[in-house]
Amino acid sequence: MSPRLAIAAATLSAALGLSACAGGSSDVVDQPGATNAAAGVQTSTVNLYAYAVPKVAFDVLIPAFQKTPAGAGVQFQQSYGASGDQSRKVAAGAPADFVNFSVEPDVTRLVDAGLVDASWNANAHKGIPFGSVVTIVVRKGNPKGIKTWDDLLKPGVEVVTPNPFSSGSAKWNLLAPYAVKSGGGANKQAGLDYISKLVIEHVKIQPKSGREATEAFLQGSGDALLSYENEALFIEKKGDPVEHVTPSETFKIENPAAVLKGSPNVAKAKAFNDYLYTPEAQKLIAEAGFRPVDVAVAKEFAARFPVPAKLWTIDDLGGWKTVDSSLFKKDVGAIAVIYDKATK
Amino acid sequence: MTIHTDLGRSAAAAALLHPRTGGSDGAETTAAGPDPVGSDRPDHRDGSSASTSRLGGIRSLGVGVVTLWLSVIVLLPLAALTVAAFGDGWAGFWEAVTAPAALAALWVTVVVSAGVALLNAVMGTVIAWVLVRDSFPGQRFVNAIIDLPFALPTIVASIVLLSLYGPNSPIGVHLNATRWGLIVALAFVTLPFVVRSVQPVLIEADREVEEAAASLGASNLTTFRRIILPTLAPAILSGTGLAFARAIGEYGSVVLIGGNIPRETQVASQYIQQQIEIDSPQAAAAVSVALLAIAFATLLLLRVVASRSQRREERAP
Amino acid sequence: MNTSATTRIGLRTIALGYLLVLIGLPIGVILYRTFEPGLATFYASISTPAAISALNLSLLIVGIVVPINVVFGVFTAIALVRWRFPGRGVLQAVVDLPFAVSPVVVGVALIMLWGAGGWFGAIEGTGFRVIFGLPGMVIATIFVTLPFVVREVEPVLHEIGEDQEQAASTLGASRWQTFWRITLPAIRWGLTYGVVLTVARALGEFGAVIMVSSGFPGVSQTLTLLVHARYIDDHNTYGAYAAATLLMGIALLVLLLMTVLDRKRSDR
Repeated sequence: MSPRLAIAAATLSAALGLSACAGGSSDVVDQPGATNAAAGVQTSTVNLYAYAVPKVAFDVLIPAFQKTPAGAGVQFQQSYGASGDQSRKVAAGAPADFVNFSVEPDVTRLVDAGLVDASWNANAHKGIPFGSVVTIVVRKGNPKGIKTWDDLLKPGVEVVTPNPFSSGSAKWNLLAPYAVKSGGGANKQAGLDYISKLVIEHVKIQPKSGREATEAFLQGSGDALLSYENEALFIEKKGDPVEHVTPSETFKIENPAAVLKGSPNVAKAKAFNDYLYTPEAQKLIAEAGFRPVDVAVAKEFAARFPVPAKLWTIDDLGGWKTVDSSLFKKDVGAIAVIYDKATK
Repeated sequence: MTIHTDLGRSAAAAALLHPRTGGSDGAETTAAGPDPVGSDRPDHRDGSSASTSRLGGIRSLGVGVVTLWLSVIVLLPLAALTVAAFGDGWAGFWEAVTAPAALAALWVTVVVSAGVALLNAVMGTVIAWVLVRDSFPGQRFVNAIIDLPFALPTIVASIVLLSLYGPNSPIGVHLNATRWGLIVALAFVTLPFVVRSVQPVLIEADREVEEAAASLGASNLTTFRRIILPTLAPAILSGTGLAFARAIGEYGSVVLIGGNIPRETQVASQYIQQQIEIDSPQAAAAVSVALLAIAFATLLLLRVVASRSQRREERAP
Repeated sequence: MNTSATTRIGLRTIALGYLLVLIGLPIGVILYRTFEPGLATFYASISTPAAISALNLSLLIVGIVVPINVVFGVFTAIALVRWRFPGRGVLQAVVDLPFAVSPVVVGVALIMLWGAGGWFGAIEGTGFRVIFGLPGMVIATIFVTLPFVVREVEPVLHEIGEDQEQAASTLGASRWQTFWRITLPAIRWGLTYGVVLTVARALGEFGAVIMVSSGFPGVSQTLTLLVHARYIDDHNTYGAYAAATLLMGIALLVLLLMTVLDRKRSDR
């Protein structure tokens, strides 16, 4: 027995030793040495916590930043995950310097925890370096002829959208038709009637994240997928047999970024955050499929990002606080009630 | 129940072997808590040992270590969870657990998990028997793949199960967003438990008794029911309990194929994740504690059943 | 049981059919998708710096968790089976509980306990980072794998009984000798499967580990986290399959290793 265990242990350690000589770096970007596990040992290492979707953008933004004078020698450690999970992790003490989330309440959580300065959204773009719009993904050739929000309510159309209570980021998807049908919240009932019909009659599965909703759709569930334009562009580029239709009226997705205060790397993190708003970075962002906030760059990419006839924003609906408490709050929010009814 | 061990490998130990008959003394100790069987039998454990006092000292030290270990690793995190669950008092806990969606998720979880545990109890025993007693080409290969569901990241299991049994199923099986989908996913991740519990016992168990029974004219079914099953019962129950516990806690593998439809295929773990996402950690903790209580009660029940079956076995002539 | 050929083949068919549908097909699909583009592609996918460091980290965690679980698991099993003491019943029931906890909640509970604001948050002040560091990932893995060794060894301990151990000690063998020469050889299959399951589960665990890992590639990303990162963040499904295949390969290797060593041991 003892020799057996000893051999097993030896084999394990040998396996460890064999592979231990390799360094540590991501599949895509350069990383600081693997030994530098403790955050902040090197003052020039910025820890980035972001939601998963913009990883494609950061993969090009970070090397570009490192070529600028401000970014020379700055190393990045990047962690990606669901927006809410990432935000809760940072609030629980994960060593972050720079954060980028899908929805503003995830930054607000860090403001409340005293980790992000309340003035994080004081810059010209209100702390939003990029965004997207809500779009409808359909199967190649659009066999069901889905072009407008009303088309989703046609009999026999099954819609896939993540459960907004499993994924905060999925709230955008429902806010789009709500804002359109309610005229930006003016006629609440009309908006809720639409959502009610959509959720109760046309939404069957309720994946817990945008990525899973996409996977379920690609694997044959449903006829239409509510998604972000950048995600739609991404899966189209990958060659999946889908296309997307952006209705003439839809919703603006705004993904905030912020710098944590009090970290030893705050200056570098700030420099990176500022860099995101430069025309150079905005172009890279646009190329990665996100809508830039810089007006000049947006003009340049107008062909790629057609401007809808009407683009509603979260501010039109009164901001996240109002939206969360009136629509999504557990048991009392109007959309929460609809979801509760949907499966009774 | 005679015992077969590989004592031959150690000459010194082989010399110690003495003829054995009848029931094993070790087996009676399955009972949780004070052992009722031990009391009506002559307890030779303490009397026969020359170094009772020394043993007592070592044992209490050992018990201390075991308790401390289980406390730090298991009990303290669960205690932290329980405290969080009662953060808003008993009323808050009760409200969180009895919310209709929470009750529905708990119900779906328990029903499906019980079904899965039962399925794997039967199939796991059959598989273990086939792996130990049968012999066929490729047996080792089959034995080797049993544990793979554990090593497979659940998200990959989830994608693959969806592509096999989802809307685009190549074999025409559509389980997407149904409870059958849940059952397949959970059966997949809990398969190794019963197999791996029963296997070692089956290897150690003595076949002579079975053969004797058969030669005395017992039918296969009788031999199985009277000889094999009682021997295996504790292992089967233990494996089933683990499979049940794992099934009610499982998360990743059911996400895609289950469809997360509240009241139909949303399992408790998904409900808990939702509560965390909407910043209601107290409700998440409360439902987790409820789930724990269910698991605890089930495991306790199984253990009582196991000890009963064992005592019956010992009393049998 | 002198089973008739019919019964034996019947049982074999049922068992193999079940395994084929439940495990064979899904794993076959994964292997097909992994190796379809060729071995070179597979190798390239599992030999990126991130994959190698993730493999290192996974093996390191397994290397820490398995010995701890073996020592404490065997010890706990013996205590629960052989000794009687007040509270034994409670401890019995506690051992299985880790499985019933949703992995999401394991992370939350560990953060409540070891996190900066948790019960043991003071440790953080000494500069020893538990949560979002390696210790947190190890603790989470021990939590989810704790029952395996105990539960695999326990039934075997019951089955072998205590007579031989007692005979040995009557004849003057020390407790250590008795354990080493009698008990350990007898429980070796149980222990083997306990270790195999522990390794497999430790490799595959995601939910609990992601919550307590800082999640940086090359630093705190295990192989399973890499699978998720590749699939979710990079939409690199192939990379996810390849890394998952690697994980299964390691689990298989451990099982083979343990079986071969066991066999050698019993042949002697």
